[in-house]
Amino acid sequence: MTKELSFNVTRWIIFTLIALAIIIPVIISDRIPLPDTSSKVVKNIYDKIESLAEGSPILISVDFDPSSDEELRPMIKGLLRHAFRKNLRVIGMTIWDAAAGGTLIDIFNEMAKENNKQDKIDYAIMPFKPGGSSILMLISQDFYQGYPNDYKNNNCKDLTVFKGIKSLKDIKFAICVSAGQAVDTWIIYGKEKGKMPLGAGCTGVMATDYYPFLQSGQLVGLMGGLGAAAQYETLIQHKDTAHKSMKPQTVVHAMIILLIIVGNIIYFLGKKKN
Amino acid sequence: MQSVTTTQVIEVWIAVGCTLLIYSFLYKDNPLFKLGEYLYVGLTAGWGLCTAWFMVVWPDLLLPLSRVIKSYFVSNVKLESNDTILLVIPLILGIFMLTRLSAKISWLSRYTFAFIIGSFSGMSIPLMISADLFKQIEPTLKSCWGTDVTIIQAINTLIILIGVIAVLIYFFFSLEHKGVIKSIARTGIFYMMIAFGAAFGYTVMARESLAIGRMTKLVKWASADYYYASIVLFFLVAIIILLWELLRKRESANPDNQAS
Amino acid sequence: MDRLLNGSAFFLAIAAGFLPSIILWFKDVPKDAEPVKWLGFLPLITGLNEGSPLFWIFLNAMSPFMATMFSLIGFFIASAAFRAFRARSIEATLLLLSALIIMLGQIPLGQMIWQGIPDTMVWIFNVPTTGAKRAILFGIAMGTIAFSLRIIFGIERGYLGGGKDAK
Repeated sequence: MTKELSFNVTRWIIFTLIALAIIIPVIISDRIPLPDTSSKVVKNIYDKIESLAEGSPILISVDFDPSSDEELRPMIKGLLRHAFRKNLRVIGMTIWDAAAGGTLIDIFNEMAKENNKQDKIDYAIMPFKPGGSSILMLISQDFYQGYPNDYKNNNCKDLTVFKGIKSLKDIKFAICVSAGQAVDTWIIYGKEKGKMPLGAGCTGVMATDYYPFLQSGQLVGLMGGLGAAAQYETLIQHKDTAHKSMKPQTVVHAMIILLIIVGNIIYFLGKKKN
Repeated sequence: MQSVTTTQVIEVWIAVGCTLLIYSFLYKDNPLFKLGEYLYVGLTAGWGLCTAWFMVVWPDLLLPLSRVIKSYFVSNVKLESNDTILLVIPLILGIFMLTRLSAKISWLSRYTFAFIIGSFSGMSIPLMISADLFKQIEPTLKSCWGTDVTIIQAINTLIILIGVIAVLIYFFFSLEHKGVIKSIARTGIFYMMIAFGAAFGYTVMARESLAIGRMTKLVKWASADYYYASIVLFFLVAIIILLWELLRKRESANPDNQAS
Repeated sequence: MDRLLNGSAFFLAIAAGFLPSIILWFKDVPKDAEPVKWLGFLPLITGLNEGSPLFWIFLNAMSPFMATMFSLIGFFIASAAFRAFRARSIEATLLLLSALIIMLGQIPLGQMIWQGIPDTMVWIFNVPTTGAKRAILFGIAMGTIAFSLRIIFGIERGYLGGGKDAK
């Protein structure tokens, strides 16, 4: 019983420390400095969008559900702000049913309202279609076979945003922001058939899996986690949620590093004693 | 100060309630967490069902099919580009899939599975060979010397090549890991430990950012604009858990009551 | 039709998600709740438009639930790191050092300790991690291709569900 109680008490102390490490920086965040740096892999995505001419069509695949919202929503918001500022035509889609209807529509409409962009002219949202890889293969040959209508049932061929687009090959840049395996699906089925430049955004958990694709050139750039989202906000000079969240992130990281070091010291001292 | 409507206040109170029901697990497994868990599972199932119906079955299958069938009986029916009688095939295959629920006719579902698995297998082979093999082998075997290759780049390429070979040999269990093979496999383990450590470091950032997001919202919703939702509900949850603990302790302290 | 879809729906949407859950909670054991299962079909009447009740439930109930479920891991990862992350062997030490460098590289503290930490972090990602992950990718790709070929040639029939008819 005593051992169980001590286990629980240690657990609760750690949880309280983590909660305080998050709450205190949130309250006093202005006093925590943060360097304005960006990594090469994030800058590649920024540079690619920056290099596109006005009116170029880009595609953003929103493939995450609310469980990864905190990390990935700032990425989409940053990308949309950048794309709308450059007056690019943005097509939003998803190959993940959990994102359908909720996350995708919500983010696009919020950013469009903020940037005074109009549905059907400056951007369009595609409805969810099941199949993942099969829908990508379909739209890489004929976009309208996969998406004949947008999510409000307007005929895609009639929309200004689709002018000059027949398939994925006509998309100047595609970015998949995903919390699962959607980036792999895009690399294998979207990029191989569509041959368009592809960027990726993912959670920190998945980020290390995509570095081989960066080196091979299959991915133009990669935004891995909240840190990358904060770097992108720095690049587009619009610091928002990600930047604010990096401040408590800094403190929590330091706390966890301290816990690991203390844990190892206790372990080695115990080992020495025995 | 931005004005907050009554609807927004209600929405915030619901969101805070949902959040704190789940966060109560940080103390220990308790009835409030179980309530939150069941609600979550129920809502997810309902949402999945609705998404499947409203976004897939109805607009992509039944509606086009109904238009096509109607066009055979009524003259001026406007058909869209994807409306075709061939949609009967996926309809039948979909119905076959549902027969899995019955033990007697579940054998019909094998046709659907065979079609799906077979077609995906065929589609994936050439694309995977191209994307995951050829395009990955190319940078692994790139040249270590040349006019545009620096010494650092050459060393890094060699390190990557050694890593790829070592890890592949580690996973090659048909060869016994002894002698030279053992040393190479151990090198592979070192590479994997570095990779998994890197993944862990990034995972910490990922998971903490989720916690930071929720806590940030809870701090925001503790303001007077939202009638101190976070604070009030936090104390409510704490009191309920305290009462539950006291009830549990009383029940465990009175074994006679338990026996009856 | 839209009014029928949206207007009647709020109670039904709540019933579809909440009611079965609450009934199961009171029953304590979620086994074979036959009549409750069919309540799950009620949201079909509610509709899935932007302003529909089910969309409202998604934004205000499901989103917080999903986000909070995963954010719990943030707390447990700290507890697990304190308890289990030990430099017991060379391999564990490599894992630990790599993780510490990555974590330090993402915060200003890393640069304060040593200017080279962010560059070391980038090198770890670009070189040894790429090597290891690439090899794992080769393995997965070859395994998937081999499995796909086995399915096409009929050697692998496990996906058919077993039984004498599958052979």
